[in-house]
Amino acid sequence: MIKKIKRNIVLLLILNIFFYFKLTSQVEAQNAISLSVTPPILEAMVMPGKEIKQVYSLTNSGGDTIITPKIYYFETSDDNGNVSLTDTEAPEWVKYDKSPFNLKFQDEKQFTVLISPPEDAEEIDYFLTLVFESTAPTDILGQNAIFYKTQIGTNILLTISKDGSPQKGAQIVEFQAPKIIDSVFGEISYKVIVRNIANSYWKPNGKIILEGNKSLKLAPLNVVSGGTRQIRCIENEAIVDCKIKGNLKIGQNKSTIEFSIDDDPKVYKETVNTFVFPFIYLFVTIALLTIVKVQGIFNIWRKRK
Amino acid sequence: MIKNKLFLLILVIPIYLYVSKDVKVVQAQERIESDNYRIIFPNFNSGAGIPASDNYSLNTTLGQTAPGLFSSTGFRVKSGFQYISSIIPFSFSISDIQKNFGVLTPNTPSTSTSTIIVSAGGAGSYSIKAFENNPLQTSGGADTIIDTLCDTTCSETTAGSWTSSTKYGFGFNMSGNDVPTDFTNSNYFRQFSDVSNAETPATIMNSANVGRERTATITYKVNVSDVQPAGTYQNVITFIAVPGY
Repeated sequence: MIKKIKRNIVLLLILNIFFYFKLTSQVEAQNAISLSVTPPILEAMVMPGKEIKQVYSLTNSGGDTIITPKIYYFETSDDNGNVSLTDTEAPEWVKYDKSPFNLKFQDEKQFTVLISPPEDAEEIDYFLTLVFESTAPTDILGQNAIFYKTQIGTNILLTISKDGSPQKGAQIVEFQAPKIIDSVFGEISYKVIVRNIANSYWKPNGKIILEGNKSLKLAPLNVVSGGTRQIRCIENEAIVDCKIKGNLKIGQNKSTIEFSIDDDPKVYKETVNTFVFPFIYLFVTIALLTIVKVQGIFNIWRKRK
Repeated sequence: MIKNKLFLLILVIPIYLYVSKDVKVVQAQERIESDNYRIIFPNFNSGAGIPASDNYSLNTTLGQTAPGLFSSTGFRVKSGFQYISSIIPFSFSISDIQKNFGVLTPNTPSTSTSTIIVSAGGAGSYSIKAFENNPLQTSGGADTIIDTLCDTTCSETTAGSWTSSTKYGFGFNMSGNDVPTDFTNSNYFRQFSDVSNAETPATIMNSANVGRERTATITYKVNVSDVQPAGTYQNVITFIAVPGY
């Protein structure tokens, strides 16, 4: 009987400790800002006069807050696909409820954006970011302090086109590989930068082929009109650096990049050469010969002495 | 017997309360529709299989890829990054909603930290930018604690060493994943971009690969002189978290 009571007490104690830590972490979460939005990107092509509706999901894992939605144009800020928000709001035919809404701890909000370009909408690309802005907390302590606000965004790449085939064009700005490497420890790492020279965004579909060796698949990253982007490679759904190591043949190694853009049959191509040489073997041979030579000189010197 | 039942009740009630609080109706995460058109069976470019259940929504990257579809429907839509099979939300968290510095003592720097976590499951790039609405100032802007110039010089885009207790102002340091390289160590600080002074938000974290739970610590530092007027100094820091395209 006493054994049973003891067991029960231990069980209750464990439960209490568990719930204490669980509640503590929830209290901490409510004193934080934690927002997530999905989908993180929307790519759409719409005919003037037609419309699409996208529902976003915004989840709050932090404290209760009031969220204000806004859609702004963005500009590219680098070659890696990062953006800078502008102050210019989306055209009026990108419709959404601009009213602030309350989002409580662990609440999820379904937020609808309706894109309905009019018949006379210009056939260009619109690069937009839907931003959810939290409000700064109210000051109740009257202390020297800083207050936080956050804006979390999700990008919209929108093409307005009557025929679904906007003009697309690419240019290889840079396709680089090392000129000379060691055959044992060296690797061929590629740098690829492409430019969009037309008026609609696209993704490259293609690869880098190392002649007689292997090929690397280019990541289908968006390149916006007028912009440049560094293209990396894709392996098992992960973006990785484009590089090849091992099994490199001694001598000239020819690497070719070839890709097309979206459904366009035109193939863009460029080649670079890397000279592979067994520097390490040469170094070891020279080192060994030097040692032998020095040893010989030393022996002669000792005999003379 | 009664004791046993009581024990069972004590055991079951908290478990029930805990479980019932967390169980939520799973709702559709993504939906694409139009008043005039509806995608009845979009193409799912995933070999991983599409999750399906009575209560489970499709959260798979989806898009229309069939040629000729545009002319019949008038639109073509792709949600999520097309090279990964799942739509993983883009998330931003910061461990606090405000930071209090308490009473500021002249020539004695006051510091405070927050933790930032960014997550997006390996798709695309991301950047976190930050700006202040104005420097730390009293209500109405009568008095201001200037943005730090560090020991010699620093700005909203370039960090500088700030160790002297006779150099005054407000600044921040970053450490952890994906932070700018000019934060050489914990003594290097920057100012926040001041939008009241027409400065553009500066990047404080970014990466070409998002990954999961990229974590950084932001450390604020305030140092005031003997002649700083008494008052309550405050400002608002805004963090902008946007995934790449």
